[in-house]
Amino acid sequence: MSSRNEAYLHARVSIMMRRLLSPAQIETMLTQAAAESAEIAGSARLQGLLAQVSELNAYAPQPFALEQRIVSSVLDDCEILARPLSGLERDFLIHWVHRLELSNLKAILRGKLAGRSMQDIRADLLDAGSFTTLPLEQLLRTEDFSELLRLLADTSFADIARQARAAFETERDLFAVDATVDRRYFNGLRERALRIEARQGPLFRELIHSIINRVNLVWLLRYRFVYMLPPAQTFYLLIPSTSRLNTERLAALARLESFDDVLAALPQPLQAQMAGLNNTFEVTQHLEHGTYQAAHKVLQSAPHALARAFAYLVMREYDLRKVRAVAKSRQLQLGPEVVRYTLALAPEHTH
Amino acid sequence: MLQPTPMQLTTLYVLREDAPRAALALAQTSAFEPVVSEVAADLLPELPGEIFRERFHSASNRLEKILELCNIDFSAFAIPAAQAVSEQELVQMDSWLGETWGALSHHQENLRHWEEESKHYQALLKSLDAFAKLDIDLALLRRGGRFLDLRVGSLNTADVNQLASALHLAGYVLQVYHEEAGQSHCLIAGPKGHEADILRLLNSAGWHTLEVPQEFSGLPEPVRAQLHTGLNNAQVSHAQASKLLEQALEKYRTPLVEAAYLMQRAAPHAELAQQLRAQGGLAVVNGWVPGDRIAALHEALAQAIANRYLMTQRAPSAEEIPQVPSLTRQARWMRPFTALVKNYGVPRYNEIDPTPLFALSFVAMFGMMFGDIGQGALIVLAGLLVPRLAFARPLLIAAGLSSMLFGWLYGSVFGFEALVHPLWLAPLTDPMRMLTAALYWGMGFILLATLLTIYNRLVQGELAAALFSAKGVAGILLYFAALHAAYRLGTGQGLGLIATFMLLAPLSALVWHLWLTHPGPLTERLLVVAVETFETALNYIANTLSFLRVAAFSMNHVALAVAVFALAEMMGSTGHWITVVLGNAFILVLEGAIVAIQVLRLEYYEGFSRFYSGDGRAFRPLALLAPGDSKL
Repeated sequence: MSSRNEAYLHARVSIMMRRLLSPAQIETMLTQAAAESAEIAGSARLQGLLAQVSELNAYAPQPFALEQRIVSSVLDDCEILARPLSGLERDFLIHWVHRLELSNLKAILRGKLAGRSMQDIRADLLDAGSFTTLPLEQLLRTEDFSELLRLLADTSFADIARQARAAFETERDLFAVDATVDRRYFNGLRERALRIEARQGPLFRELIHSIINRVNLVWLLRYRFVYMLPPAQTFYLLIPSTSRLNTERLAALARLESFDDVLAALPQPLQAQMAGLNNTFEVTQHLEHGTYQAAHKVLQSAPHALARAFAYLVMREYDLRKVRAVAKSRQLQLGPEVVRYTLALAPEHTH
Repeated sequence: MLQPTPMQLTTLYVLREDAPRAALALAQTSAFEPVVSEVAADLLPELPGEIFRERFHSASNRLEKILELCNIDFSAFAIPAAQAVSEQELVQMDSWLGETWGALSHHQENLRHWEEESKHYQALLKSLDAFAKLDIDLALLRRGGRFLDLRVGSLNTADVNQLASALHLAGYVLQVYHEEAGQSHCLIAGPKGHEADILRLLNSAGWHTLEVPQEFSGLPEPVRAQLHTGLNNAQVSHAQASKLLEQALEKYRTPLVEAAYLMQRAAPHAELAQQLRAQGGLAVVNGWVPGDRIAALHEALAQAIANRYLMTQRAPSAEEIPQVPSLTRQARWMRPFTALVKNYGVPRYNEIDPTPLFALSFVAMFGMMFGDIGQGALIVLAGLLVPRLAFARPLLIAAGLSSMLFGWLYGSVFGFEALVHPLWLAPLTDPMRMLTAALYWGMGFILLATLLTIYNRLVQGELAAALFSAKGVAGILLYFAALHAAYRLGTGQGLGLIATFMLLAPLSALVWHLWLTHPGPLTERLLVVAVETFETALNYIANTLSFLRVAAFSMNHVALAVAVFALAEMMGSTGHWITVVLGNAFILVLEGAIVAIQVLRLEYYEGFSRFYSGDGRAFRPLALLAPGDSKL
């Protein structure tokens, strides 16, 4: 990236990071009246998001428009941040938001397997705007699962089509396909990060490791002790890693027979952080908080613009999830303590 | 010719059951573009065509996929009578198309299966030698050992390492014996007892088990023969599946043609259904109709549904003008020029359609910049004789003729300046005269463009902008006053009182208009007015100087020819003529293309950007599309 583009991106990130919400702002949104919340949402460029939800009936189904607003917000930010980028750096940043499109692929695969109508499936798809690469309309127009897989085999998702066919023909179970889509995505992220991390510095590497470690540990716990998968299959579905939670360590963890054994066998400082946690949900919360902290560190201290842009996107997504949780709590008239628990917002975090 | 056709907003009332026939009649006239109903939704709450529309989409989707498989020449079939399609007929057709697609999809799935089988056998054949390197009894691959679970298969090469590590956890080993096209062919082996878990793991990895033939033991040659037999069988099955698909397509060919025509006739109703509203037995739709087609519409409706309709029409109101579609009608030979104009944009409803002026000025400027009798004649011949350029034939002929005309004025034939005496002058003999002529042409062009802007503003009711804006009367007066002042100063006559007044009067009007149209704090207003006034003056100067390229390219053409002849002089007699021919070809293709681009640039930037908004909406009436193209 040229120094001009680097400066542009730094400036853009610095402007955008003002939109990030502080824990105190989240707490205000949780506890104060709608006017204060709306003001904070406005400062985060999320005007109307809360109002949109508060108008809904408490028992209404999950507002899809809200999801679309959140996705659009992330895509808009990414579009601006990717403008000065090219080559590997651009590829990395675009790949990060590409995940949103994969949810569309999963929705189509599931919908077609369940025999849902084209209109019903379409209603569940998110608009990924200019980041769309899937031939969505063609995929939707297929009449059955076999036709869908034939079509998918002609796209860049041919490997997924192959696995989906194997899963479909043997067990008619899409778990393996979902897991493959996710694994393929995070593997791609790791590989792309590897190509640029030498230039982006150690803080960026730490952030990527934090993301991959979180994914691996949560998946490992879930596959082994919730889905009861055997060690070998669990290990296969994880992302190869070179961090402290590396491939060899993951293989050893996959062999263990209980949740507590896995937490006890984690390398430091993860082991200390996970001590006393009782379930996968709490582990997820703590690891996500760790990723947020790592991203915050990159945003504040990293000298490289791309690393900061990526950290901003990571934090922005977390923020949007928090706002969504606040909005939903209003819709369902839940107390703030439920949201605090869900988002791991300990009271001390708010001060 | 210079303005889009006047439109009428019509309201059509029909009986609900007549809607399909009315839609077909409207489509046959190609004169009705449905729009969102004016009538309040609570008065006409029903959407009578919704089911029809949904079934049409479903059927259309299926038909499109089927037609992609079979290449049907519709011209070989008789066109059926244009009868409206009922909802029941459409539902039946949708069901039939669904069944047909199901049958064809089954054949396709078979094809895919045998194609994969063929690939597997080919891979096995290729890897037979590699199997031998495994140094095991090949029969084991088929039946496994008493305590040993052995499997042969393939997976993505990228996943091999991860799978090998995962299998290691289960006490298995993996060995790759062949790699091809991103796929690794592997042998895995491990202790029996956990086959179900291993199978799930392999499924997660997208493992494709390779069936090892019964005879896959013993000497390689019989094995190879067996594999060849398997491959042949797969290929024969593939050919049979292909033939079955062909036969099925052949069987469905005639019904598919009927289906395509039925869908063609159903499409107008499905499209109309978007805007059709109803209450009880009455259905209503609004639409734009060219004023001169109202009678044709009445005639078509009367023929289709007798007198069971009511159609009222009125001119669009001032508020509706921005929504009115533009229908521009130009002669057939103007099509290439129309395409270039539409490339910039569609004229607004009450805006001047610049196509005729564009065609005229484009052709003239091309000739001015590329004047050569011989090369112009070649362009004409290319337009007449090259089938692939048929779409641009009128443009090529006109541009070629213009090039010939100016070639005659410049006295140039394939760059030779001695063959024909110039009617006017050879460009390089008097460059100043050429540049002056180009400047005058530019001034005329800008004047015409500004006059068109003034006209457009007036018809859009923007009187103040027409009179006082930079692209209005004040702007053009300022432009000519500045030219006049420059001429006086250049010829040593001094500015004089009249010239000063001529400059200051339009300038004051311009500044006053800018002042009024930019409200804001005083400093900001002052700044905006100063900058915009300066920009106006600068733009006019830059736009005028831009036209110097007309002269520059005419001279450039001669200069290139001189260069070609200079090169040719250095050759022998054969080389001389080869150089002349190749040089002319080079000039014709390269310079011809550059000149065409430069002319387009002048048209778009100096012309269109001045007077043509191009943000109108083209008139898209209900129409009968070609069969097989009925997708909305």
